[in-house]
Amino acid sequence: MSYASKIYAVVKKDALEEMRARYAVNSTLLFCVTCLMVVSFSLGGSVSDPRLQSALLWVILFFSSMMGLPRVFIKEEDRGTMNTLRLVCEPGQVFIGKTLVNLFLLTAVMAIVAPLYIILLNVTLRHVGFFILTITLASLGLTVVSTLLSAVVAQARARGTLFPALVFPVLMPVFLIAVEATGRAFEAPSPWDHANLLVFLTCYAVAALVGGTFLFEYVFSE
Amino acid sequence: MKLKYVVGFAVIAACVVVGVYMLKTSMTPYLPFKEAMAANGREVQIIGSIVKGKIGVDAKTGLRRFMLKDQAGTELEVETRENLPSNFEHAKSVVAVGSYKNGVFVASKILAKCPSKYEKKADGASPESRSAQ
Amino acid sequence: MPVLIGTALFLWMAGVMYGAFVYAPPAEGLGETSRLIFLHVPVAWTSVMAFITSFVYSILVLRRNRHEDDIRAEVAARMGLWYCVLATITGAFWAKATWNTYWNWDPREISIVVLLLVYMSYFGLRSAVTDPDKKIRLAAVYAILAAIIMPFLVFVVPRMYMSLHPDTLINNSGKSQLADVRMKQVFFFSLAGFTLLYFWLFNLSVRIERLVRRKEGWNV
Repeated sequence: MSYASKIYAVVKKDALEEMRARYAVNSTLLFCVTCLMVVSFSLGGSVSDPRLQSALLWVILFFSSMMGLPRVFIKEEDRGTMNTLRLVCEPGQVFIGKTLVNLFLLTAVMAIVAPLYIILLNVTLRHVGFFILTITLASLGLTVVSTLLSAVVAQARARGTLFPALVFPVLMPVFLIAVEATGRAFEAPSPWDHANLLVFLTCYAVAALVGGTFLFEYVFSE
Repeated sequence: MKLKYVVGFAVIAACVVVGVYMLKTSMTPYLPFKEAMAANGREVQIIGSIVKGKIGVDAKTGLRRFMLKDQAGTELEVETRENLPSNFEHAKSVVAVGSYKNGVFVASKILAKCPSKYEKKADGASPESRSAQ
Repeated sequence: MPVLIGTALFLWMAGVMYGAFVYAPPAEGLGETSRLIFLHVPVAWTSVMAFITSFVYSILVLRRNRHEDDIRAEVAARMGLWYCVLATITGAFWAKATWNTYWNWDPREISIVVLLLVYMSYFGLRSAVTDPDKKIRLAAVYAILAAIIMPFLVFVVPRMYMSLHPDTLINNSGKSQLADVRMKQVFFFSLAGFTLLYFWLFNLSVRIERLVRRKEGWNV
């Protein structure tokens, strides 16, 4: 099988499983929506500062991804199928495949939660294109790093509590810049002045992808 | 080292350099007052020294007003709703974040900053450190 | 010989203390509190050095898979963490003296807390993995990530967000901000002293750690 088709196989396996049970999407979405409801109840429409709105959105997204993304490797470890993956695929293929799986998951969740957030918190979204671009680029970096660290955490004990602690400091740059950029998308007259923030997010995603591919080999191989 | 590592590290290094460079413009761009005034209501950061005797609080609106003078000598009136920091009058320089509207710089954030020069008690001085506070 | 080195270092650090508190003149504006710079900056610098050491040895762990390298990586990370704690505490005392609050959730303070969290997570990870070979590999991977994030937290964040924290010593124009000669002398004397102290402590700690691990049954 070719390199790409193995990646496809990894993705397809998880996708099929997902479509049958919809476990990951449901639980992540549920968590995300619950967070959103709590924030919405407590603040209602009273939050008008775009920076605060932006920050809350990203807090919700980050914590939901911390809940939902590690599953990708934890379930393999729990079922004992990690070794199957090790035998059949090269580490790079597993990494890219699992990252894609997480990316699809996160995109599905964000596609539902972001509009919901905008409606419930009365956010005036002035620049849709900039907003979508920000979310996309930030999610890329987020997913890559989370997938790498999911593999680390799957092989340890106390995974649920360890994962957020491990992942958040490494994701700090993405978090800070994404909050800044989304804030601009909400309010600023000309967010494209701040396109440098988007370039930063792209650089982070690229560096994370390359660095992650190198490091994953050491995390995954026995 | 294998070729893929060399290429990979080069890519990562390039990303880091470009990434940090991208943040440079977000890192302390203190605009001269003339530029701040021409900024079309864009939010900017300015820094200047306080023009003595021009600090006041408007009792009705609760706005605080003072005059700043930048390095080029331009003077600018600043108003803000924020409480002025406690060492305000003695600060050597003040940083304000906000935008220029209708002849006045409306600041959303005020910071009184001591200039960063360690000198014997002859001129201004301030503590510096490389990291943690 | 070791006693000689230890004594020499002791005298050096005593000299640093004298220099910081007596010899150097107080700076204008902040008076005696400015003396903190002679302690706070070298401690922070030592922390950065330690984290870089950890980074280098972690890479070696991945390449050579030897426990010996892991000992050094872990010891370096531990020292980095402690020195970072010291830097935070000295900073907090200075903040109290200057702005009357120990802690302000200023961007610089936030980024230092995150740095502490990173390395605490490193040790959390280490304790969560039982298999030794896996432990050193996973820990090394995380130490590498942590060391890459460290410069962002220490150098970039405070320049990005407006902070009450004073500007850094090597500022944009590249010139040193210590104008008085005596201050320069004490500062570099202190920096050198703390650096030497770091190497000495690192060496000692590695030897201790090796013994501890042998006792615990590791293959070192």
